[in-house]
Amino acid sequence: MAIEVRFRPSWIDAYWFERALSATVSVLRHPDMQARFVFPEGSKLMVDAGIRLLSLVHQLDRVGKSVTLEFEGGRDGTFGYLDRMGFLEQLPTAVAVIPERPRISAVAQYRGRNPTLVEFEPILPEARDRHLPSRLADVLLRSVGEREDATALSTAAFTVLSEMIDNVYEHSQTHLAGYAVQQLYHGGGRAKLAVSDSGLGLLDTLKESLNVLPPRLAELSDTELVVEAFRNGLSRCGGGRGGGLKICADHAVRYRSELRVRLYTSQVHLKPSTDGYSPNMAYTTDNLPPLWGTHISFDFELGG
Amino acid sequence: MYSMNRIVTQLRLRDFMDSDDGWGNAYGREVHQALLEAVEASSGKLVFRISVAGVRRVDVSFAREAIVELAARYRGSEGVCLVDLPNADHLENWEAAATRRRQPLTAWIDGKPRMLGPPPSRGNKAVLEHMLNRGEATAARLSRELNLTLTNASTKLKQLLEQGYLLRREEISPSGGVEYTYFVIG
Repeated sequence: MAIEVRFRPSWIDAYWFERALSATVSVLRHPDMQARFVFPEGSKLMVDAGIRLLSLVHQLDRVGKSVTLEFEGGRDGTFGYLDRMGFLEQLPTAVAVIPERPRISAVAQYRGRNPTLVEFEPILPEARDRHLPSRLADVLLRSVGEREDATALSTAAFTVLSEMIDNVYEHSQTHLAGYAVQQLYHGGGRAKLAVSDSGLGLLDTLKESLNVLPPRLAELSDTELVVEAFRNGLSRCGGGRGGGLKICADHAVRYRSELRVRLYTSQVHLKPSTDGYSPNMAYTTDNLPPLWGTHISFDFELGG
Repeated sequence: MYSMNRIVTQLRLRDFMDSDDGWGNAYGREVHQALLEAVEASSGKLVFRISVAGVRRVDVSFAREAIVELAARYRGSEGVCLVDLPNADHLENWEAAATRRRQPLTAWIDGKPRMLGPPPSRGNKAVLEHMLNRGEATAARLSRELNLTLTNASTKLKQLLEQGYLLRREEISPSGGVEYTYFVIG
Protein backbone atom coordinates (compact mmCIF):
# COMPACT_ATOMS: atom_id res chain seq x y z
CA MET A 1 0.00 0.00 0.00
CA ALA A 2 1.67 3.23 -1.12
CA ILE A 3 1.92 6.40 0.92
CA GLU A 4 -0.09 8.92 -1.08
CA VAL A 5 0.62 12.64 -1.27
CA ARG A 6 -2.27 14.37 -3.00
CA PHE A 7 -1.85 17.96 -4.19
CA ARG A 8 -4.64 20.43 -4.54
CA PRO A 9 -6.35 21.14 -7.90
CA SER A 10 -4.98 24.69 -8.12
CA TRP A 11 -1.68 26.59 -7.90
CA ILE A 12 0.85 24.73 -5.79
CA ASP A 13 3.69 26.83 -4.46
CA ALA A 14 6.14 25.85 -1.69
CA TYR A 15 3.50 26.47 0.96
CA TRP A 16 0.93 24.16 -0.63
CA PHE A 17 3.61 21.60 -1.35
CA GLU A 18 4.44 21.40 2.34
CA ARG A 19 0.73 21.30 3.24
CA ALA A 20 0.24 18.25 1.03
CA LEU A 21 3.38 16.58 2.33
CA SER A 22 2.39 17.19 5.95
CA ALA A 23 -1.08 15.73 5.44
CA THR A 24 0.34 12.23 5.49
CA VAL A 25 3.19 10.32 7.12
CA SER A 26 6.77 11.10 6.17
CA VAL A 27 7.38 9.60 2.75
CA LEU A 28 11.12 9.62 3.41
CA ARG A 29 11.21 8.12 6.90
CA HIS A 30 8.19 5.80 6.92
CA PRO A 31 9.07 2.12 6.41
CA ASP A 32 6.52 1.77 3.62
CA MET A 33 8.59 1.38 0.45
CA GLN A 34 6.08 2.87 -1.99
CA ALA A 35 5.23 6.50 -2.50
CA ARG A 36 2.69 8.06 -4.85
CA PHE A 37 2.32 11.74 -5.70
CA VAL A 38 -1.04 12.62 -7.23
CA PHE A 39 -1.79 15.71 -9.29
CA PRO A 40 -5.54 16.15 -9.76
CA GLU A 41 -6.91 17.87 -12.81
CA GLY A 42 -6.44 21.62 -12.47
CA SER A 43 -3.28 21.43 -10.41
CA LYS A 44 -0.49 23.81 -11.41
CA LEU A 45 2.93 23.22 -9.89
CA MET A 46 5.09 26.30 -9.37
CA VAL A 47 8.85 26.01 -9.63
CA ASP A 48 9.66 26.52 -5.93
CA ALA A 49 7.43 23.52 -5.16
CA GLY A 50 8.66 21.59 -8.18
CA ILE A 51 12.29 21.85 -7.20
CA ARG A 52 11.57 20.46 -3.71
CA LEU A 53 9.56 17.63 -5.19
CA LEU A 54 12.34 16.78 -7.63
CA SER A 55 14.90 16.59 -4.82
CA LEU A 56 12.52 14.52 -2.68
CA VAL A 57 11.87 12.03 -5.48
CA HIS A 58 15.61 11.53 -5.94
CA GLN A 59 16.04 11.03 -2.21
CA LEU A 60 13.26 8.43 -2.14
CA ASP A 61 14.85 6.65 -5.07
CA ARG A 62 18.21 6.72 -3.30
CA VAL A 63 16.79 4.87 -0.30
CA GLY A 64 15.23 2.27 -2.57
CA LYS A 65 11.60 3.37 -2.50
CA SER A 66 9.30 2.85 -5.44
CA VAL A 67 7.89 6.20 -6.59
CA THR A 68 4.94 7.00 -8.85
CA LEU A 69 3.81 10.38 -10.15
CA GLU A 70 0.20 10.29 -11.26
CA PHE A 71 -1.34 13.05 -13.38
CA GLU A 72 -5.11 12.65 -13.28
CA GLY A 73 -5.53 15.28 -16.00
CA GLY A 74 -3.57 13.14 -18.46
CA ARG A 75 -1.05 14.86 -20.70
CA ASP A 76 -2.64 18.28 -20.39
CA GLY A 77 -2.01 20.88 -17.74
CA THR A 78 0.68 20.15 -15.20
CA PHE A 79 2.00 17.09 -17.03
CA GLY A 80 2.66 19.12 -20.17
CA TYR A 81 4.18 21.99 -18.20
CA LEU A 82 6.53 19.71 -16.27
CA ASP A 83 7.52 17.97 -19.49
CA ARG A 84 8.32 21.33 -21.04
CA MET A 85 10.28 22.40 -17.96
CA GLY A 86 12.50 19.35 -18.03
CA PHE A 87 11.15 18.07 -14.71
CA LEU A 88 10.12 14.69 -16.14
CA GLU A 89 13.47 14.36 -17.90
CA GLN A 90 15.30 14.82 -14.57
CA LEU A 91 13.37 12.07 -12.76
CA PRO A 92 15.25 8.89 -11.86
CA THR A 93 14.61 6.21 -14.46
CA ALA A 94 12.91 3.94 -11.92
CA VAL A 95 10.17 6.48 -11.19
CA ALA A 96 6.83 5.55 -12.77
CA VAL A 97 4.80 8.28 -14.47
CA ILE A 98 1.08 7.96 -15.18
CA PRO A 99 -0.12 8.24 -17.96
CA GLU A 100 3.45 7.58 -19.17
CA ARG A 101 6.78 9.23 -19.71
CA PRO A 102 6.94 11.05 -23.03
CA ARG A 103 8.94 9.17 -25.63
CA ILE A 104 10.27 12.48 -26.91
CA SER A 105 10.51 15.08 -24.17
CA ALA A 106 9.21 18.56 -24.89
CA VAL A 107 12.23 20.07 -23.20
CA ALA A 108 14.54 18.34 -25.65
CA GLN A 109 12.74 20.17 -28.46
CA TYR A 110 12.27 23.55 -26.87
CA ARG A 111 15.08 23.99 -24.33
CA GLY A 112 16.27 27.60 -24.10
CA ARG A 113 13.59 29.02 -26.38
CA ASN A 114 11.18 30.50 -23.87
CA PRO A 115 12.37 33.89 -22.68
CA THR A 116 10.48 33.67 -19.39
CA LEU A 117 11.85 30.48 -17.96
CA VAL A 118 14.90 28.34 -17.46
CA GLU A 119 14.18 24.68 -17.29
CA PHE A 120 15.10 22.56 -14.28
CA GLU A 121 18.88 22.38 -14.54
CA PRO A 122 20.92 19.79 -12.64
CA ILE A 123 23.85 20.86 -10.50
CA LEU A 124 26.17 17.87 -10.75
CA PRO A 125 28.93 17.72 -8.15
CA GLU A 126 31.28 15.96 -10.56
CA ALA A 127 30.68 18.25 -13.55
CA ARG A 128 30.59 21.97 -12.86
CA ASP A 129 28.37 23.84 -15.36
CA ARG A 130 30.31 27.05 -15.72
CA HIS A 131 27.56 28.92 -17.54
CA LEU A 132 24.52 28.00 -15.44
CA PRO A 133 24.15 31.25 -13.42
CA SER A 134 24.67 33.30 -16.59
CA ARG A 135 21.94 31.39 -18.44
CA LEU A 136 19.54 31.92 -15.56
CA ALA A 137 20.32 35.62 -15.19
CA ASP A 138 20.21 36.25 -18.94
CA VAL A 139 16.66 34.91 -19.12
CA LEU A 140 15.65 37.50 -16.59
CA LEU A 141 17.55 40.21 -18.48
CA ARG A 142 15.77 39.37 -21.73
CA SER A 143 12.41 39.49 -20.02
CA VAL A 144 12.89 42.81 -18.28
CA GLY A 145 15.15 44.39 -20.86
CA GLU A 146 13.09 47.54 -21.19
CA ARG A 147 13.27 48.48 -17.55
CA GLU A 148 15.73 51.19 -16.55
CA ASP A 149 17.18 48.92 -13.90
CA ALA A 150 17.38 45.83 -16.13
CA THR A 151 21.16 45.53 -15.79
CA ALA A 152 21.06 45.97 -12.04
CA LEU A 153 18.23 43.43 -11.76
CA SER A 154 20.08 40.84 -13.83
CA THR A 155 23.24 41.44 -11.79
CA ALA A 156 21.24 40.92 -8.62
CA ALA A 157 19.76 37.69 -9.96
CA PHE A 158 23.18 36.56 -11.21
CA THR A 159 24.72 37.20 -7.79
CA VAL A 160 21.98 35.37 -5.92
CA LEU A 161 22.04 32.38 -8.26
CA SER A 162 25.82 32.09 -8.51
CA GLU A 163 26.35 32.25 -4.76
CA MET A 164 23.61 29.65 -4.14
CA ILE A 165 24.88 27.35 -6.87
CA ASP A 166 28.48 27.68 -5.74
CA ASN A 167 27.38 26.75 -2.22
CA VAL A 168 25.98 23.50 -3.60
CA TYR A 169 29.26 22.67 -5.33
CA GLU A 170 31.40 23.65 -2.36
CA HIS A 171 29.43 22.52 0.68
CA SER A 172 26.70 19.99 -0.03
CA GLN A 173 28.99 16.93 0.09
CA THR A 174 26.69 14.57 -1.76
CA HIS A 175 26.62 12.70 -5.04
CA LEU A 176 22.95 13.47 -5.52
CA ALA A 177 22.40 16.25 -8.03
CA GLY A 178 21.20 19.65 -6.93
CA TYR A 179 18.84 21.70 -9.10
CA ALA A 180 18.30 25.28 -10.20
CA VAL A 181 15.25 26.75 -11.90
CA GLN A 182 13.71 30.10 -12.71
CA GLN A 183 10.28 31.21 -13.87
CA LEU A 184 8.75 34.60 -14.46
CA TYR A 185 5.10 34.88 -13.50
CA HIS A 186 4.07 37.98 -15.38
CA GLY A 187 0.51 37.79 -14.12
CA GLY A 188 1.76 38.06 -10.56
CA GLY A 189 4.63 40.40 -11.39
CA ARG A 190 7.18 38.07 -9.83
CA ALA A 191 10.21 36.02 -10.72
CA LYS A 192 10.87 32.86 -8.74
CA LEU A 193 14.49 31.72 -8.51
CA ALA A 194 15.17 28.46 -6.70
CA VAL A 195 18.20 26.32 -5.93
CA SER A 196 18.00 22.96 -4.17
CA ASP A 197 20.47 20.38 -3.00
CA SER A 198 20.12 17.07 -1.19
CA GLY A 199 23.35 17.17 0.75
CA LEU A 200 24.61 18.57 3.99
CA GLY A 201 22.07 21.13 5.09
CA LEU A 202 22.80 24.81 5.45
CA LEU A 203 22.45 24.69 9.23
CA ASP A 204 24.86 21.79 9.52
CA THR A 205 27.51 23.62 7.49
CA LEU A 206 26.99 26.85 9.45
CA LYS A 207 27.16 25.06 12.79
CA GLU A 208 30.43 23.41 11.83
CA SER A 209 31.93 26.89 11.81
CA LEU A 210 30.76 27.74 15.31
CA ASN A 211 34.10 26.69 16.77
CA VAL A 212 35.71 29.72 15.14
CA LEU A 213 32.87 32.20 15.54
CA PRO A 214 31.93 34.35 18.51
CA PRO A 215 30.30 32.34 21.32
CA ARG A 216 27.14 34.46 21.12
CA LEU A 217 26.30 32.75 17.85
CA ALA A 218 26.32 29.35 19.54
CA GLU A 219 23.32 30.49 21.59
CA LEU A 220 21.18 31.38 18.58
CA SER A 221 18.17 29.30 17.61
CA ASP A 222 18.15 27.71 14.17
CA THR A 223 15.95 30.50 12.82
CA GLU A 224 18.20 33.17 14.28
CA LEU A 225 21.27 31.47 12.83
CA VAL A 226 19.77 31.43 9.34
CA VAL A 227 18.78 35.08 9.66
CA GLU A 228 22.27 35.92 10.91
CA ALA A 229 23.81 34.15 7.92
CA PHE A 230 21.74 36.22 5.50
CA ARG A 231 21.99 39.42 7.50
CA ASN A 232 25.64 39.51 8.49
CA GLY A 233 27.30 36.51 6.85
CA LEU A 234 28.83 33.41 8.42
CA SER A 235 31.14 30.75 7.13
CA ARG A 236 32.97 27.66 8.20
CA CYS A 237 35.94 28.83 6.17
CA GLY A 238 38.21 31.65 7.20
CA GLY A 239 39.80 34.43 5.20
CA GLY A 240 36.73 36.56 4.70
CA ARG A 241 34.63 33.88 3.08
CA GLY A 242 30.98 33.69 4.08
CA GLY A 243 29.69 36.96 2.73
CA GLY A 244 27.86 35.13 -0.06
CA LEU A 245 24.54 34.68 1.72
CA LYS A 246 24.60 38.24 2.99
CA ILE A 247 25.27 39.73 -0.44
CA CYS A 248 22.42 37.59 -1.83
CA ALA A 249 20.17 39.11 0.77
CA ASP A 250 21.47 42.63 0.07
CA HIS A 251 20.61 42.28 -3.60
CA ALA A 252 17.33 40.47 -3.10
CA VAL A 253 15.90 42.83 -0.51
CA ARG A 254 16.16 45.67 -3.00
CA TYR A 255 13.46 43.92 -5.03
CA ARG A 256 11.35 43.21 -1.96
CA SER A 257 12.18 39.58 -2.37
CA GLU A 258 10.76 37.06 0.05
CA LEU A 259 13.21 34.35 0.90
CA ARG A 260 12.35 30.81 1.91
CA VAL A 261 14.95 28.42 3.26
CA ARG A 262 13.70 24.84 3.65
CA LEU A 263 15.86 22.79 5.99
CA TYR A 264 15.57 19.18 7.14
CA THR A 265 12.36 19.53 9.16
CA SER A 266 11.79 23.25 9.22
CA GLN A 267 11.49 26.27 7.02
CA VAL A 268 12.53 29.86 7.60
CA HIS A 269 10.54 32.47 5.69
CA LEU A 270 12.17 35.88 5.60
CA LYS A 271 10.23 38.95 4.58
CA PRO A 272 12.15 42.08 3.71
CA SER A 273 12.01 45.16 5.86
CA THR A 274 13.59 48.55 5.33
CA ASP A 275 16.90 47.40 6.78
CA GLY A 276 17.10 44.02 5.17
CA TYR A 277 16.10 40.71 6.66
CA SER A 278 15.67 40.87 10.40
CA PRO A 279 14.72 38.34 13.07
CA ASN A 280 11.37 40.00 13.71
CA MET A 281 10.35 39.46 10.09
CA ALA A 282 11.43 35.81 10.06
CA TYR A 283 8.77 33.12 10.35
CA THR A 284 9.66 29.55 11.17
CA THR A 285 7.62 26.47 10.46
CA ASP A 286 8.79 23.44 12.42
CA ASN A 287 7.91 19.74 12.38
CA LEU A 288 7.81 19.55 8.61
CA PRO A 289 8.28 16.13 7.01
CA PRO A 290 12.00 15.35 6.63
CA LEU A 291 13.67 16.50 3.43
CA TRP A 292 17.43 16.25 3.09
CA GLY A 293 19.51 19.21 2.04
CA THR A 294 18.82 22.90 1.60
CA HIS A 295 16.17 24.39 -0.64
CA ILE A 296 16.29 28.13 -1.12
CA SER A 297 13.90 30.21 -3.15
CA PHE A 298 13.73 33.92 -3.82
CA ASP A 299 10.63 35.71 -5.05
CA PHE A 300 11.73 38.87 -6.83
CA GLU A 301 9.06 41.50 -7.21
CA LEU A 302 9.13 42.85 -10.75
CA GLY A 303 6.19 45.20 -10.53
CA GLY A 304 3.62 45.87 -13.28
CA MET B 1 45.60 59.16 -12.57
CA TYR B 2 49.20 60.14 -13.01
CA SER B 3 51.61 58.28 -15.21
CA MET B 4 54.50 56.15 -14.00
CA ASN B 5 55.18 54.08 -17.08
CA ARG B 6 58.24 52.46 -15.67
CA ILE B 7 56.47 50.94 -12.72
CA VAL B 8 52.87 50.49 -13.88
CA THR B 9 51.41 47.74 -16.00
CA GLN B 10 47.87 46.91 -17.03
CA LEU B 11 46.27 43.48 -17.17
CA ARG B 12 42.91 42.85 -18.79
CA LEU B 13 40.87 40.56 -16.53
CA ARG B 14 38.72 39.31 -19.42
CA ASP B 15 41.83 37.82 -21.04
CA PHE B 16 42.11 35.45 -18.09
CA MET B 17 38.44 34.37 -18.17
CA ASP B 18 36.60 32.04 -20.52
CA SER B 19 33.37 34.07 -20.54
CA ASP B 20 32.11 37.55 -19.68
CA ASP B 21 30.83 36.49 -16.26
CA GLY B 22 32.93 35.37 -13.30
CA TRP B 23 31.47 33.44 -10.40
CA GLY B 24 32.32 31.03 -7.64
CA ASN B 25 35.29 30.35 -5.41
CA ALA B 26 36.85 27.65 -7.57
CA TYR B 27 36.82 29.70 -10.77
CA GLY B 28 38.03 32.74 -8.85
CA ARG B 29 41.02 30.73 -7.62
CA GLU B 30 41.77 29.57 -11.18
CA VAL B 31 41.79 33.11 -12.50
CA HIS B 32 43.80 34.27 -9.49
CA GLN B 33 46.49 31.72 -10.29
CA ALA B 34 46.71 32.89 -13.90
CA LEU B 35 46.89 36.53 -12.82
CA LEU B 36 49.56 35.67 -10.28
CA GLU B 37 51.73 34.17 -12.98
CA ALA B 38 51.30 37.31 -15.07
CA VAL B 39 52.20 39.51 -12.11
CA GLU B 40 55.24 37.45 -11.23
CA ALA B 41 56.37 37.65 -14.84
CA SER B 42 56.28 41.47 -14.71
CA SER B 43 59.22 42.02 -12.42
CA GLY B 44 59.99 45.57 -11.44
CA LYS B 45 56.42 46.77 -11.68
CA LEU B 46 54.89 48.45 -8.67
CA VAL B 47 51.29 48.90 -9.77
CA PHE B 48 49.01 46.46 -11.56
CA ARG B 49 45.94 48.04 -13.07
CA ILE B 50 43.31 45.36 -13.61
CA SER B 51 41.04 46.44 -16.43
CA VAL B 52 37.52 45.04 -16.13
CA ALA B 53 36.56 46.08 -19.67
CA GLY B 54 34.57 43.26 -21.21
CA VAL B 55 33.70 41.69 -17.86
CA ARG B 56 29.93 41.78 -17.57
CA ARG B 57 29.20 40.45 -14.09
CA VAL B 58 31.14 39.05 -11.17
CA ASP B 59 29.84 37.64 -7.93
CA VAL B 60 31.40 38.30 -4.53
CA SER B 61 33.19 34.95 -4.30
CA PHE B 62 34.87 35.39 -7.67
CA ALA B 63 35.80 39.03 -7.01
CA ARG B 64 37.38 38.05 -3.71
CA GLU B 65 39.30 35.01 -4.88
CA ALA B 66 40.48 36.42 -8.21
CA ILE B 67 41.39 40.01 -7.39
CA VAL B 68 41.01 40.96 -3.74
CA GLU B 69 43.25 38.08 -2.69
CA LEU B 70 45.83 39.36 -5.18
CA ALA B 71 45.73 42.80 -3.56
CA ALA B 72 46.05 41.20 -0.12
CA ARG B 73 49.03 39.11 -1.21
CA TYR B 74 51.04 42.12 -2.33
CA ARG B 75 49.80 44.59 0.26
CA GLY B 76 52.43 47.14 1.13
CA SER B 77 54.85 46.17 -1.63
CA GLU B 78 52.91 46.20 -4.92
CA GLY B 79 49.49 47.64 -5.65
CA VAL B 80 46.43 46.29 -7.42
CA CYS B 81 43.58 48.52 -8.57
CA LEU B 82 40.52 48.26 -10.79
CA VAL B 83 40.14 50.41 -13.92
CA ASP B 84 37.62 50.73 -16.76
CA LEU B 85 34.62 50.23 -14.52
CA PRO B 86 31.65 51.45 -16.55
CA ASN B 87 29.88 53.08 -13.60
CA ALA B 88 29.26 52.91 -9.89
CA ASP B 89 26.47 50.32 -10.33
CA HIS B 90 29.15 47.69 -10.97
CA LEU B 91 30.90 48.29 -7.68
CA GLU B 92 28.63 46.54 -5.23
CA ASN B 93 30.05 43.03 -5.42
CA TRP B 94 33.64 44.32 -5.56
CA GLU B 95 32.93 46.41 -2.49
CA ALA B 96 31.42 43.45 -0.65
CA ALA B 97 34.41 41.26 -1.53
CA ALA B 98 36.94 43.84 -0.34
CA THR B 99 35.00 44.57 2.84
CA ARG B 100 34.60 40.93 3.75
CA ARG B 101 38.27 40.22 3.18
CA ARG B 102 39.22 43.43 5.06
CA GLN B 103 41.43 44.40 2.13
CA PRO B 104 41.20 47.91 0.65
CA LEU B 105 40.92 48.02 -3.13
CA THR B 106 41.23 51.18 -5.21
CA ALA B 107 38.73 51.51 -8.05
CA TRP B 108 39.03 54.23 -10.69
CA ILE B 109 35.81 55.65 -12.13
CA ASP B 110 35.84 58.59 -14.54
CA GLY B 111 39.43 59.28 -13.65
CA LYS B 112 38.77 59.52 -9.91
CA PRO B 113 39.85 57.02 -7.27
CA ARG B 114 37.34 55.40 -4.96
CA MET B 115 38.36 53.25 -2.05
CA LEU B 116 36.47 49.99 -1.70
CA GLY B 117 36.52 47.80 1.36
CA PRO B 118 37.06 48.62 5.02
CA PRO B 119 37.23 52.30 5.97
CA PRO B 120 40.46 53.58 7.50
CA SER B 121 40.67 54.29 11.21
CA ARG B 122 39.23 57.59 12.38
CA GLY B 123 42.72 58.93 12.94
CA ASN B 124 43.81 58.23 9.36
CA LYS B 125 40.60 59.17 7.58
CA ALA B 126 41.53 62.78 6.87
CA VAL B 127 44.96 61.79 5.59
CA LEU B 128 43.52 59.22 3.22
CA GLU B 129 40.92 61.66 1.91
CA HIS B 130 43.62 64.23 1.33
CA MET B 131 45.73 61.69 -0.51
CA LEU B 132 42.80 60.57 -2.68
CA ASN B 133 42.43 64.19 -3.81
CA ARG B 134 46.10 64.87 -4.11
CA GLY B 135 47.39 61.65 -5.63
CA GLU B 136 50.82 61.58 -4.01
CA ALA B 137 52.85 63.28 -1.30
CA THR B 138 55.89 62.91 0.89
CA ALA B 139 55.52 62.99 4.66
CA ALA B 140 57.09 66.43 4.69
CA ARG B 141 54.57 67.85 2.23
CA LEU B 142 51.67 66.22 4.02
CA SER B 143 52.77 67.59 7.38
CA ARG B 144 52.74 71.13 5.90
CA GLU B 145 49.43 70.77 4.14
CA LEU B 146 47.57 69.19 7.03
CA ASN B 147 49.43 70.95 9.81
CA LEU B 148 50.78 67.75 11.33
CA THR B 149 54.14 67.07 12.86
CA LEU B 150 56.52 65.33 10.51
CA THR B 151 56.57 62.26 12.75
CA ASN B 152 52.78 62.15 12.85
CA ALA B 153 52.44 62.49 9.08
CA SER B 154 55.06 59.82 8.52
CA THR B 155 53.38 57.42 10.93
CA LYS B 156 49.95 57.85 9.37
CA LEU B 157 51.24 57.36 5.86
CA LYS B 158 53.11 54.24 6.89
CA GLN B 159 49.99 52.84 8.51
CA LEU B 160 47.97 53.48 5.37
CA LEU B 161 50.70 51.74 3.37
CA GLU B 162 50.74 48.70 5.62
CA GLN B 163 46.96 48.45 5.61
CA GLY B 164 46.83 48.49 1.82
CA TYR B 165 45.38 51.93 1.09
CA LEU B 166 48.52 53.45 -0.41
CA LEU B 167 51.85 52.50 -1.92
CA ARG B 168 55.17 54.27 -1.82
CA ARG B 169 58.25 54.59 -3.96
CA GLU B 170 61.76 55.43 -2.90
CA GLU B 171 63.34 58.59 -4.25
CA ILE B 172 66.40 60.71 -3.59
CA SER B 173 65.54 63.82 -1.63
CA PRO B 174 66.97 67.25 -2.48
CA SER B 175 69.35 66.81 0.40
CA GLY B 176 70.67 63.59 -1.14
CA GLY B 177 69.05 61.24 1.32
CA VAL B 178 66.30 58.73 0.70
CA GLU B 179 62.72 59.82 1.00
CA TYR B 180 59.44 58.09 0.29
CA THR B 181 56.69 59.41 -1.90
CA TYR B 182 53.36 57.85 -0.95
CA PHE B 183 50.74 57.56 -3.65
CA VAL B 184 47.25 56.35 -4.43
CA ILE B 185 47.34 53.03 -6.22
CA GLY B 186 46.54 53.66 -9.85
